[in-house]
Parts: sequence; structure tokens; C-alpha cells
Amino acid sequence: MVPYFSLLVKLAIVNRWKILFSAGGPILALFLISPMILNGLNKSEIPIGWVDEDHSRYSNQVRERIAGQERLKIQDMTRTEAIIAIQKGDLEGAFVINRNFQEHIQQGNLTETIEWIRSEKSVFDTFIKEQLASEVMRLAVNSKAATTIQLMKQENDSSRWQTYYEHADSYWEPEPLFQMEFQTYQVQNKQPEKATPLSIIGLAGIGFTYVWMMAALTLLPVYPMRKNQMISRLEMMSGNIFNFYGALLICVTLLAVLFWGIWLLVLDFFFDHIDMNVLQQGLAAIIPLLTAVYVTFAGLFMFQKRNGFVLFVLTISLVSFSLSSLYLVSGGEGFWYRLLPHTWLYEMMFQ
Amino acid sequence: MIYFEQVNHYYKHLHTLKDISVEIGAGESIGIIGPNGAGKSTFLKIMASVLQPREGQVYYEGEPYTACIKRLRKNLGYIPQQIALFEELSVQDQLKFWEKAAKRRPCKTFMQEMKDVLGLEQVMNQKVRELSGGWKRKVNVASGLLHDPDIILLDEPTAGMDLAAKHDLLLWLKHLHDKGKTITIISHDWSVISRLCSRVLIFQDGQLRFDGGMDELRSFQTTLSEERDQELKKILDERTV
Repeated sequence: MVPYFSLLVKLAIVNRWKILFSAGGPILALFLISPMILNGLNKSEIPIGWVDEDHSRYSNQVRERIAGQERLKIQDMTRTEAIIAIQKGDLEGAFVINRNFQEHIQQGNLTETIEWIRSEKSVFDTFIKEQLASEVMRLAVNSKAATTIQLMKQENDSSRWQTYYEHADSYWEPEPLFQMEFQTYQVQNKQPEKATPLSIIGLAGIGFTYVWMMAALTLLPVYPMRKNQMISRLEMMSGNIFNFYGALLICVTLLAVLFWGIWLLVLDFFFDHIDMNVLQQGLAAIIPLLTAVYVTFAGLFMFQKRNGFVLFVLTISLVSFSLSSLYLVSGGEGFWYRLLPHTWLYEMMFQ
Repeated sequence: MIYFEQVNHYYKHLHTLKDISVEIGAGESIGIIGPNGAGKSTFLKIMASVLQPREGQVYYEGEPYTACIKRLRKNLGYIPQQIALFEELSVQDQLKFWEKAAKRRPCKTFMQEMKDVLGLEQVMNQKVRELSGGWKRKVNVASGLLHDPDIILLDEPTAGMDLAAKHDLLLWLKHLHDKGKTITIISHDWSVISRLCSRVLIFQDGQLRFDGGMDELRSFQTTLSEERDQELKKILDERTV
């Protein structure tokens, strides 16, 4: 088998630019499209309009605290802009901080301080409403505490009021206002995990198919070798042809593992800041990938003509891709789906 | 040494070899001629064990050759009609690969002799795809015979070769034959057959029409019915220089 290995390595070195281009092309494409993907991922943040008609210290403070929340995208705008954006479906909702917001809060008046504009289709803005309510409550309670102390002490000094306010506010941070002991227990059923964004699964799927097709392309030269009787010559000179096919299989396996590894590392590099574990899941996907490669390899012996082989590879790839997608969407179960490489890939990516 | 007994072969529905019975003796040099599609290449492929006969049996040294196929292949060098080379490799790498791949270890002296006679040294560092058709043929022959086989089967080895290259190759094949090698060669080139072979097989429509020496061939030619073998006679006349 050694002469065949050295031959295949030599052929790989001779064709190094083709191989580098084959590996580098998709990576370059990924590099080019990654800003779009990342942009798409950022769009998964909830867009909320922010209309500040008071422009006070309190209104700024509330905005900063709300904007600090994860998965929120606060956009400053006017009331008119907010209404138009909601009608267009660009915003989940908008909050209008009314004029004299700070003054009302300081007076302990919570009514008519904030307006909530929302579309009838809004779903996620209720979470922001709760956040906003708690922030406004915090301001109001602090203000009420400061005012009550001043009234009790019969003081009129506004700087003293501010001191009392800040003292009251210190109970909110850094320690939680409501403290208690708590114990954690491991949940018996499956831990809920953060779902990997579909766009990343799509990229992993593209990589999977790409590596598979690369393996199929690597096997294609066997057909002209059969036609020009190179295979016959190899068989005659070396006594059998098993060593040649064995070496070819090992080389294709190494190539598939190498290309898949590169693809995963590149995915992990580009989308590192996203909380997901593509690398670990992708490593498990080597098993279905190699199964797909070996089925393709078996096609070499099932089809004596190159067109038959190409049709075979395209058919199993397309059928697998379509049926697996159907399985994924429908959530169906069945033994036959387990025979499809994409099903394994999807399952590994999701579970 | 190799004996064909009532061999028949079919390609799909086409009867390509019809009841062929012939013996190839050790040390013979045999030329195979006939029109295109006559069954010459199929005959050679069966002899090389690349194809198995559909009917009949082939014997190698008295044994059915399927039973001793490894031994046969070890002693056999088959040069197909197509150029079976790795185009991207240099001639040197090409020969090194075939040298390592060959089950029978090639003798260094033989290899050097082959390189010298065929003049391969001057193209050793060139890639095969950069060579002319004639040089490719030479490298093709050298790759298939570098393990110094006892039985040499060649399917139109001189097609596309210039006169000088053809001369070199024939010189070397003649030398091998003189050393006791068995040579069976298919060629449309009468000069190749007449210079190298002492026995000729003529195939037509899958049948072996003639098997004999050069002198018998001339008389066979005259006894052929003009009506039945007009086409074959025409071919022979064209080939006769």
C-alpha cells in the first residue's frame, strides 16, 4: 500500500494549488458572507423605540439601564418616527417618556409619565415593559423615600434631598433588594440549551455537503483510470487492486476529516462570540460524514460509468437533503430518516 | 505455455471472439493483425487476464489460468492501446512508482538498459503531459515492462511514433526476444510485424482466420477467396511494403 500512498501524496503535491483553492475558496466565501450572517444574528435582538420628551437626568438613567439589557436594541427617535416604524413592522414597540417625567417621579406621581406604543402583533415588548416599570418604580420609591425623610425632618435643602435619594438607591445596588438563601438542585431532565442560530447550522450543513462533494470529486479520476486501463495495469503489476483502493479510501478519509476540521475551525473563529458549541457538535458529525463518504466510495463499484456515479452522488445528496429538511420541519420519526446523512447532522446540531 | 481452448467472448450482444483455440509457445514472437473490431484487443486482454472469457478455457503452463493468475501476472507485461500514465508526474517519478508497485522486483541493470535503449534519460525530469505522443508511448511501454516480464503483450505500441522512436522500440523488443522473452504484439504497421515476428495470427469478425509463419502467410494470401476476403486482402496489400 505504501507505493500508492506515496503516489497519492505526490499527486496531491503536484495539484497543491487546486487543493488549496478548493479548500480556500469556500473559506474565502465564508469570510465574505460572515458580516451579513453576523448582521442577521444581530437582527435577532428585539428592536424598541425610545422617545425622550423630557431629556432629564432620570429619563437618561432609565434609558441607560434598559439599553444595558441583553437582546435589546434601543433606537432613539421622535414620537412620529416611532409610530411609522411600528406601523411598518420595524419595531416591536416604543416607549415615550413624557415631558416633566422627572418632576412627576420626584413628586411620587407615577401616572401619565410614560406612554407605551405597540403594534397589535407585538410579542416581545411586554418584557421591556416589565423592565421599564421596575426602573421607574426604583426611581419613584427612591424619590418618595427622600421626600418622606425631608418632610419628617422638616428640611427644604435640595442637596440633602439628593443625599437621601442616593442612600435609598444604594439598597438597589450592588446587593439585591430582596435577599434570601437559595439552594440549587440538578434538573433531572435535559438542560435547556441556547439554540444555535439557524444561519450557523446552515453554514455547517453547507460545509458538510461541500466536504462530501470534495470526497466524491476526489474519487472521480478513477473512471478515466479505468478507461485508459491504468487500473488493469495496476492490478497486473502489483498482483491485486485492493491495495490501490485501500490507499485511496484512507486518503479520501483523511482529506474529508481535514477539510471538515478546517471548516469547523473557521466557523468557530468567525462566530466565536456567539454562545454555541459548533466545534464539539461538528466533531461528532464526523461519523455521518464518513458514512456518507464511504457510501459514495461504494458507488465506484456499483457504477461502471462516470455519469452513473455522478448521478448516484447527486441523487443521494439531494434526497438526503430534502428528506432530512422535511424531517426537521415536521419533527417526524422513523428508521429511514436515520439512513440519511443530513438527518444525523441536523440531530447532532440540535441535540 | 498459454493455450486458448474454444474461447468465446461477447461484448454486450456482440460476439467478439468465436471459438478461438490457439497455443502460444515460450520464446515465440507473434504478430496479430486484422481489421478494426476483429477481436484482436479482446484476445490480448484475455491473454493478459484483464478480461475473463465468457466461454472456453485458457491454460497457463497446463493449469487453468484463473487458478494461477498471480503467477501469470507476475511473469506478464501488458501494454494497453491507451496511454496509461499519470500525466502530472515526471517520467522519473512515474518509473519509480511502477518500480515500487510491481510485485516482481525489477533488476537495476535491466532498467538501465531499457532507459538507455529507449533514450529516456533525456526526458527523465519532464512531466508526462509535456511530452510528445511518441515519447509518451515509449514511457508507457517502459512503465509496463520495467519488471522484466517473461511474457510481453503489446497492443499497438508504435501508434503515433516517429520513425526514430519506432526504431528504438523495435530494437529493444528484438533484444528482449533474443533473450528468450515471449512477445505478442498487435499492430497495423506491417514493418513492425515483419521485423519482429516469426508467427502471425489474423483475426476477422472474431474468428482466427490464419495462424502460421511468414511464408505460409504469403500462400494463404493467394488462396483466399477474393470474394470472401477482399477486405482482408486489401489490408494486407496495403501493409506489404
